[in-house]
Amino acid sequence: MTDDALAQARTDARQCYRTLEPLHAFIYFDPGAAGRYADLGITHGHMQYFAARAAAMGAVGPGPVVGTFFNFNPGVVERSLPAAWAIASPDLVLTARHAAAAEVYGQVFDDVVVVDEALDLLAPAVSAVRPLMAGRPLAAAHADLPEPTEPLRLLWWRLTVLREWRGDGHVAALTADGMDPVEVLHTHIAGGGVNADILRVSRAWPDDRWAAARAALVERGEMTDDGALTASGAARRQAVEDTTDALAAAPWQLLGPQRCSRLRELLRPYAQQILASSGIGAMLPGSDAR
Amino acid sequence: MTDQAAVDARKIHRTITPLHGFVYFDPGAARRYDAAGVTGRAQYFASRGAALGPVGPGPVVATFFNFCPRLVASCLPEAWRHTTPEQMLAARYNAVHDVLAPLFGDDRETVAEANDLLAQAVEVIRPRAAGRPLYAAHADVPAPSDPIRLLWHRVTLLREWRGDGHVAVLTAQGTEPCEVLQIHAAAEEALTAETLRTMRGWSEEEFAAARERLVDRGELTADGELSTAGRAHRQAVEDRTDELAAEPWRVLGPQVARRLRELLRPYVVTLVGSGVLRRITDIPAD
Repeated sequence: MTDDALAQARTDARQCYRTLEPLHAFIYFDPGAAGRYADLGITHGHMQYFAARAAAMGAVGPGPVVGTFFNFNPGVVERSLPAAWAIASPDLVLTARHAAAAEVYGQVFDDVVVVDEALDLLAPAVSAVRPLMAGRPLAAAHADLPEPTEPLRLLWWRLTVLREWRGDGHVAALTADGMDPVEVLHTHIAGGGVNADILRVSRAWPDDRWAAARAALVERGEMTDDGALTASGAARRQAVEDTTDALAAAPWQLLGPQRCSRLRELLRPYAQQILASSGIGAMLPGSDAR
Repeated sequence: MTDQAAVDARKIHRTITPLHGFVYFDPGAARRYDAAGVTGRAQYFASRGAALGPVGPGPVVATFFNFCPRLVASCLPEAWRHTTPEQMLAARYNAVHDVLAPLFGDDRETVAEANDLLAQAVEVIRPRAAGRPLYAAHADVPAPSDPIRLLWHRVTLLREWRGDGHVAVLTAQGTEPCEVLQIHAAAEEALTAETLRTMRGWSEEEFAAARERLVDRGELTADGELSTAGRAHRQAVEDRTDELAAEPWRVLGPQVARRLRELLRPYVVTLVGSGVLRRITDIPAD
C-alpha cells in the first residue's frame, strides 16, 4: 500500500461519509419512525432515540449507551434505559425502525436498478469491516443483526453498519485523545455546519457543565473567548478527524476510488432528496449529501 | 517531564489486576457458574459481559477486544437461555466473597481504609464514562453493601475503566487483535503466541496473516522478535494507556496511590501465592 493509495482511501472514506450520512441519519428525525415507536408505547423523544439506536445491542442499561454514543448527558440516558425495554423489547423496536426506514426509502428510491447496483457496491464494503469489529461495539452489534432480505431494508442495514463502524472509530479517536465529551460538542459547534442550540438541547447537558467545558477549552488555549477554535484547538480537532478518516478507510480502500465515486454518484440524488425533505441539514456536521 | 500520575496509574494497575482478575481462574467461581447453567468457555464471556446486559456477541467482541468472534458467538447469546445477567453477577460477587473474605480475614481496618481510598478514585472516574462502555456498564451495577464485595466492585471499576482506555488506544492505532496478541507474546516472556492464539480462539491462518502484516510493517522480525519499531509502538500504546488512566491519581495525589498499594499489596501477594492464580501472568493481557 503506497502512501498515495492510503491518502486516497482516507479521502474516499470522508467523501462517502459526506454523501451517505443522510441516508442513515434521517431516521432520528423521521416523524414516521417516531410514530412507530410511539405506537409501541415509547413516546419520549430521548427514549426513542436511545432505544432505537441501542436496540441492536440488546436490552442494555444506560452504561453501554453512555459509553458508545459518547456525548450524551448520562442522567438523560439513565431516565430512558432500561425503562424503554419494559415498554417494548429491542426486537420490537428494531422491527419498527427498519419498517420506518423502508417506508422512507420506498418513497425516495424510484429505481430498482440503482438500489441493486448500490447493494452490489456496498456488499464487499460490509464484508471488509466484518472482521474488524474489535473496539467497535455499535457496529459489531448492528453487524450481528440478521441480514434483511428485502432490498431497501438491506440497503439501510448495510449503510448503517458502515456508518456505525466509522462512528465507533471516531469515538475511539476521541477517547484516545482524552477530550471530554462536552468539550467535543463545543469544538463541533466552533467548527461550523451544525446548529448549536439543537446540539445543546439534544445532548441535554446542564448549563453549568456546558459552561465549564467551554471555560476549560479557553483555559487551555484551544478556544477564544468568543467561541472560535484557536490554532492549537483547530489542530487537535483536525488530528481527531484525520485519525477518524484513517480508521474508516478499510472498506473504501477495498472498493477503490472508482467504485467509491460510482457509489456516491448513484446515491447522491437520493441522499440530497432525503436531506432536503427531512430538514436535518443543520444536524449533520461534515455531511451535505454532496 | 515524567507524569507522576501516569506512573501511579501503572503501579496501581499492576497491584490491583490480580485482585480483579483471579475470578477468571477461580474454580469456585466456575462451580457457581456451572450451577447457574453456564459452562466452559461461556463462563468468562457471560460473567464479564453480564454487566452489559443480555447482549449478543457483538458488544463483547468489541469491548473485550482480542477474542475471536467465532468463539464469542459460540457462547453468547446462548448463555442467556440458561441464566440471566443478574444471576451471573450474583454468582460472580459470591465467588469473589468466598476467596477474598478468608484472604482479608479479620483485617477489617485495611478493607475499610482501602474502600475509602477506592471510593475517592471511583468518584473521580464517574463522569468519565464516554467512550468506555465496559466500565460504564459495570458502574451501573448496584454497589454491594458488604465491604469485601464492595472492595472488589470498586477495583473492577478502575480496572475496566483503564481497560476501555487501552482498547480505545489500540483501536485508534488501527492495530488488530491478532497483531496485539503476538506483539504481547513477543514482549512478555510469560505466554507464547500459540497459547494466546488458542486461549483467544483464533485460527492458525488468522495468526499467520497478522504475523505477516507485523513483519511487513517492520514491527516483528522474521523469527518473531520485536523490532525496535515494534517495541516503540508497543511502548507508545502503553504510555498513552497510562496517561488516559492517570486522572484519579492526578486528582488524589501520589500519597493516596502509594497508600492504596501499600494496603493491598500484601494481600495481592498472598492471593497470587495461594495458587488461585496458577501464574499471575494468566491474567488476560487486556
